[in-house]
Amino acid sequence: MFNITSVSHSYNHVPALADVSLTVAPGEIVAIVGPSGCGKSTLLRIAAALLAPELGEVKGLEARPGYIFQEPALLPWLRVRDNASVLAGSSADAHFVDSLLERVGLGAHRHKWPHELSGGMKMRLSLVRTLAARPNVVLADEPFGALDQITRHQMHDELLRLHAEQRFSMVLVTHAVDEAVFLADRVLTMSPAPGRITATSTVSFARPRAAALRYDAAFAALCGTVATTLRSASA
Amino acid sequence: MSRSPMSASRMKRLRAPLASVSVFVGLWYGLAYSLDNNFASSDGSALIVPPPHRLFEGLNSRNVERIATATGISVATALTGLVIAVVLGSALGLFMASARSVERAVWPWLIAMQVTPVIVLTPIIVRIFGPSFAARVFVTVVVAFFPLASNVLFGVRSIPQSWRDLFVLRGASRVETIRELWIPASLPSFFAGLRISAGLAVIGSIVGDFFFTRGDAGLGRLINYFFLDTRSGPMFVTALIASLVGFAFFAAAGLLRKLFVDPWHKP
Repeated sequence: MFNITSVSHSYNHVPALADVSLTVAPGEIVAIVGPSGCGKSTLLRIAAALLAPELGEVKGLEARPGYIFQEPALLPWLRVRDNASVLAGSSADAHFVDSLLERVGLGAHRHKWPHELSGGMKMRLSLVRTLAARPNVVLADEPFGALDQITRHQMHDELLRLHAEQRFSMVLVTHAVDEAVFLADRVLTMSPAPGRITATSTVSFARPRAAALRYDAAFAALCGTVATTLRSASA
Repeated sequence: MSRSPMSASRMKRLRAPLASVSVFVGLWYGLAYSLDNNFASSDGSALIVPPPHRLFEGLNSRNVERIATATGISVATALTGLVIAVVLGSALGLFMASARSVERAVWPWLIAMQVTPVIVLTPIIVRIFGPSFAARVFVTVVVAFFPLASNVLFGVRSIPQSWRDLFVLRGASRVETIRELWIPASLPSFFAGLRISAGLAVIGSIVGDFFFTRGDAGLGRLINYFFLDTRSGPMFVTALIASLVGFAFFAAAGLLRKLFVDPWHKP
């Protein structure tokens, strides 16, 4: 379990986050939705210790959590296989990295350069790079925002399969309500200026979640509820 | 007979450079035959500008030997200077990138070195070091140094935040970050700087050579020697060789970039 307690932060004296607290249980996926500029990414960077908060603290998080960026952020001078091991560093388990690459369909592409991959393949490689370090916590900052809908759904299924195997906790920042509801156990809604958590929706659909869930009436209803809280948070 | 698509595209690529070379040769001929008294010497050789087909007239074995020796000296000077400039320039670029305060302290000196003409610096360097090979190399380093240092600095400064974050998340040490992130990430701009520095190294070795009045002559001093001769052919041949040396350095830098960067760098 890790806790973010009463975190506040500002940029050039403009408040970005105000008194945000969050607890994530082991194996839990928490999604955060909110309008642009509400401080979602700032909260994630603070959780990853990439940014020191002005107030508050983060407890219980391992020294090196997994982090998935908005863009794949692949190192262009490393081939697919070497990119997959970058976060794990010298402790990378070669067999485990290869098995992850196989799992996401990149096994045959391990000797390619990043520029030879499609957008979806790059994002899958970014996911493998994060999980290759065997993190207990994964922080994901709108990782699928740039993908087309079909690839995005494939990535959701991929992520849930890997989560079922590795049982990492995850905080997922996203703009897409359906993505949040499909992947998460809880969806938090943030309001802007300064960023605060204004609503929490519990997602009780059983795991493993099949693709057909997206067309379920209960799923649509919950998406509607979250979208309504998001609209009022943005108003 | 049908032409393969490869050779057709190569022909298309060559069309523009061939046209410009043709125009250049045409202008050269035009100049050679339009100058008054160009062929007024007793043996009819060109006094001012030799036409291209008579370029090698007056090039006896003694002159060929002189040109070969001078080319060797200038190439050795330029190459040694360029290698030192690469090592020092890259190291200084990385050092400046490590802290803004270092950059602020060093940058004005680099600018001063860059904007001071080599022709002004060379006599000072010769006065300090004497007319030695080391002094020739020093002049070349001074000329070739700046593009490498500034391009490596620019390359490191341009590293995206997400790449930097990756190494923070990994808990990489300073040395690991420099070796595995800074150096490879700055390679594209380093090689852009190397192409400029390669040409500058040749210019530095030739221009600096004018001041080395003792020892074997490099291409710069030899051009000056032939300038005082009545026949212009050897001077033009020497100038042509100086250009070819510069071109070879430039092309070698491009080739290195092609080998080490082009396979993965797609801007």
